[in-house]
Amino acid sequence: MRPERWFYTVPLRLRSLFRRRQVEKELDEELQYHLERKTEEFLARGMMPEKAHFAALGAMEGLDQQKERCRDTRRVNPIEHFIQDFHCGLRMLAKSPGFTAVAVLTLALGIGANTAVFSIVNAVLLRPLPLPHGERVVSIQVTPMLADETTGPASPLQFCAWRAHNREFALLAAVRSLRGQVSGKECPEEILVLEDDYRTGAPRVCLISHRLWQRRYSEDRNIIGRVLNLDSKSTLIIGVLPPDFAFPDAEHDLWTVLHLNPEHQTERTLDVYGLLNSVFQLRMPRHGLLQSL
Amino acid sequence: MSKPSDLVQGTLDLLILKILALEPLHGWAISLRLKQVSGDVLQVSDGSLYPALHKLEQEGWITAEWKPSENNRRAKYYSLTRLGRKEFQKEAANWTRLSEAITQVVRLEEA
Repeated sequence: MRPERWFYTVPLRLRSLFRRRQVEKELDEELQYHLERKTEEFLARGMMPEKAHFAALGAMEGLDQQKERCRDTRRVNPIEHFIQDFHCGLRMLAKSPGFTAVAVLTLALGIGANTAVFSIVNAVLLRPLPLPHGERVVSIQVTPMLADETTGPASPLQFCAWRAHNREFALLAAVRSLRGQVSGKECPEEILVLEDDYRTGAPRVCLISHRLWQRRYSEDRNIIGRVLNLDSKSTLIIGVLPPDFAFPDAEHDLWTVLHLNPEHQTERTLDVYGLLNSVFQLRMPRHGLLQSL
Repeated sequence: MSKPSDLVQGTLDLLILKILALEPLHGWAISLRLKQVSGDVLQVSDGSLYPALHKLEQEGWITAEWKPSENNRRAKYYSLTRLGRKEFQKEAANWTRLSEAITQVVRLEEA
């Protein structure tokens, strides 16, 4: 039933929209024809020509009203009115360029600010961390009792104590970002290094970024097992990371083990991350491990 | 008594469909035919005929074609579509039912 109706109605709607002039011309011609025949009728009854014309117009009850009523039946009037309003709006804007500029600028700034804020909210709050159990990963910061120290990284001493007494976290990890000097066969260069995976007596191994692999080692396929010199300590290359790997940001080129220097035990240099045993712990009051130290 | 031009709503559509079921006609001829067949009882104003025709066309019940008229001018001839024929049968049955019911009510003897 429906498709058969569309067979008639769809071409009509399209015609009303895209052949508007033609449709209007035909409407005009149709009503004009009627008007002339009506006038002839009145003339035949012996009316004066001018009077007959007006009588015929009167019988139509307003030519323009009838045309408008015919247009209303086309069902595309809302679209046409929208297009007319749109054009009118454009003309008004063109008339007062100053106002237009201010309005456009306001909109641009508003949209820009919104986009910026949303990008941050999306990255920080909405998008889950690209890690298994990302919802359980937390960053741990130290808020000292003393007023002259700031909230931020932990010292090796604190981190080791947390590890020793930890019951709330499945894993605790500390990382430290620093500038390191790589040397070897190629000329020495300074890169951003991230140290993590703290264990006493861990072997000196490293992962390098895809970028460093391309730049320094010309995509050498036999890179694994080679030794580079990091701050004059031999370090074994055990892997190249994918191009899109970025932790904590895209500036870092080398990841190696964390070796804590006993002389700097109280310097607050470590960013600490933890994997909670359960995500529900986030809602509980946080005491125990962290407060006691 | 109300004016004869006060057609029951929807009746004009039914009349147009009936007239066009007999033969394709242009607007002017339809208006003449309306007066003729209803014996001037139903006076359809010239104005309201065209919006009604356009509405029926947009519903897909009648379709229009430009052809030379009897005085050799171009005129828009309307004819019934298959859908229009179905619609006419439905509306005609409705009308019969309604008018019979009203006639019965009007003829009720007062107790």
